[in-house]
Amino acid sequence: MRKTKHCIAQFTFYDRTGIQEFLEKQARKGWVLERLGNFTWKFRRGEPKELHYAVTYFPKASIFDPGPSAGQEQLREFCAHAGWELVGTTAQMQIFRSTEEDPVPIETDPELELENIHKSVKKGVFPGYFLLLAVCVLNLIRSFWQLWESPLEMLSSNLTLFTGFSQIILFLICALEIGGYFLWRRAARKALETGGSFVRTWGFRKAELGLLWVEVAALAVVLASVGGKTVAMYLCGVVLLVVVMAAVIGIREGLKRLQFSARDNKIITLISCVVLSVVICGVGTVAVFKGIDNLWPEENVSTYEYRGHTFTSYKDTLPLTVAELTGIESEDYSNYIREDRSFLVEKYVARQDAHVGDSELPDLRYVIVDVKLPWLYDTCLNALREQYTGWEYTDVYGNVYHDEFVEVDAAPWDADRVYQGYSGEYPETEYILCYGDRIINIEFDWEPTAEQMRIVREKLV
Amino acid sequence: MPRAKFQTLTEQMFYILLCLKEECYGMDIMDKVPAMTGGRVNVGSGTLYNLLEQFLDEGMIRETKVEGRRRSYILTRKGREMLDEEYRRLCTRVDDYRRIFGEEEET
Repeated sequence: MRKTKHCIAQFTFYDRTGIQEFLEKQARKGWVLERLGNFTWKFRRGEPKELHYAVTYFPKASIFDPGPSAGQEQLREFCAHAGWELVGTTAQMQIFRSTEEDPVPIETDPELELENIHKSVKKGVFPGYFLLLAVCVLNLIRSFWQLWESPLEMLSSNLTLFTGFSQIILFLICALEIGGYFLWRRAARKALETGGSFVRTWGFRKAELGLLWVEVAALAVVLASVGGKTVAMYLCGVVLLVVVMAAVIGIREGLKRLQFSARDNKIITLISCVVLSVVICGVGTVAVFKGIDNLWPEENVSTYEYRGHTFTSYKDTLPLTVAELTGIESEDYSNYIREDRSFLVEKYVARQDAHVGDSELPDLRYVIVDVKLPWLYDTCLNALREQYTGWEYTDVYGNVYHDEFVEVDAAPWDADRVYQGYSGEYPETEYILCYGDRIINIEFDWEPTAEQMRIVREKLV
Repeated sequence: MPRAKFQTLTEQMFYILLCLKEECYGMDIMDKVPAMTGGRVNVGSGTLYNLLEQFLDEGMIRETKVEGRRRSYILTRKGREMLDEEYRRLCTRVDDYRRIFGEEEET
């Protein structure tokens, strides 16, 4: 039977009554709080018993203090005299325990307690939550902008979707903490003004833990859906983040042991945090990319030279080739295909490009989009149709041409709908073909024949 | 409306100040108040600490001795005036009560 256990310290900072009840419940189960860590609280197994816990707040304290101030020492002395033993502190929060049957509470004036909590919340947790909220909002705006500008790229990448989802989770946690506090404070003040007693604090531990588990589950699903290379990159990113956090906490705790003042500690730790983030994340990311490229080298890639320049040539297997359409076979082609898959959209980008040189081989490019949710179909179709929106050309006569896709007869392609690219009034050899949930954007270097249209349908649909 | 700071005194404030008529260690106040009130009023350790800090800031008490973590305090003239004011306020209440119910009992 294990003797210790750790609980994630995802408690709402001001949830005085909720934390007390949680700790008292643990004591009744035989788990006694031993230590407050940065991320977890440690419990030791003992005899199940009725213990009283009291959570109080000391607004002048800070996580950078080298030790308890004279005021804190005096408060602890008072508490000890009243039978309250200090269990641990974290920032402004102090947790006491009493074995007495009916101890006098540490706080007996609800108005004073409310003000103490308010000062502590303002100093202790709100700066961090407001900063996090601002970062979340900026990232969400960036994600929505990306969704607006390039919906296909966003919708077809589980990783990009996950990043946006993570911002929503973080936003919800910040909103719960900040909004919840102000609502509770309003209710508590109102109760005191009308002669009531201290209103139970509001805690969001279960909701926030639920959100964190959803986040972890989403990450697991995402990592399971991508290749080993991406998983390795993501895990390395997480390791780098943990290294930065551990280093910053180590510096803060080291300075505390060296008896640096809270102000000096704060400045040095903050500077270290910025420098380490830049250095470790910067250097680490480069190292990770190089290491991963060595571990997972790109397959089917070679290079060739032309007039002193080096070019990359891919030899991927394509579902449709120029040879299948025209009978032209050549080794001087680069065959490239990449796929992006998410639970919403699957996208394949394929290109058969003639090597740079003197040959006049035709190129072939196509994008295949499979839409898994019907209500996203128009978004994906419009993203392809509007890919050239804003492009315009002016010819030597001053005429301005716009590129756009115009709906044409779908019968030759045997498709649901077909759009053809136009540059001004001149038709191009680029098409968007709609077949059920699949949309194909294909660009030829020549005018496709009826037989070639049939082959396209046969190979890509 | 929330209580304007020290315009009136809560029961706990009143008894803490009363204890400090004579020089007294902060910690001892926690024992003196229940003893003085027959256990009716208790002052929590956190509340006592915060009130002593506020009384000091307002000049209602002053520190007389610091012996390690133990500090002793005594009431100042200002503190005494505030206690007197509270006493008068309480007396007014008692007088009003007596005037109302005393008259009823007489009739």
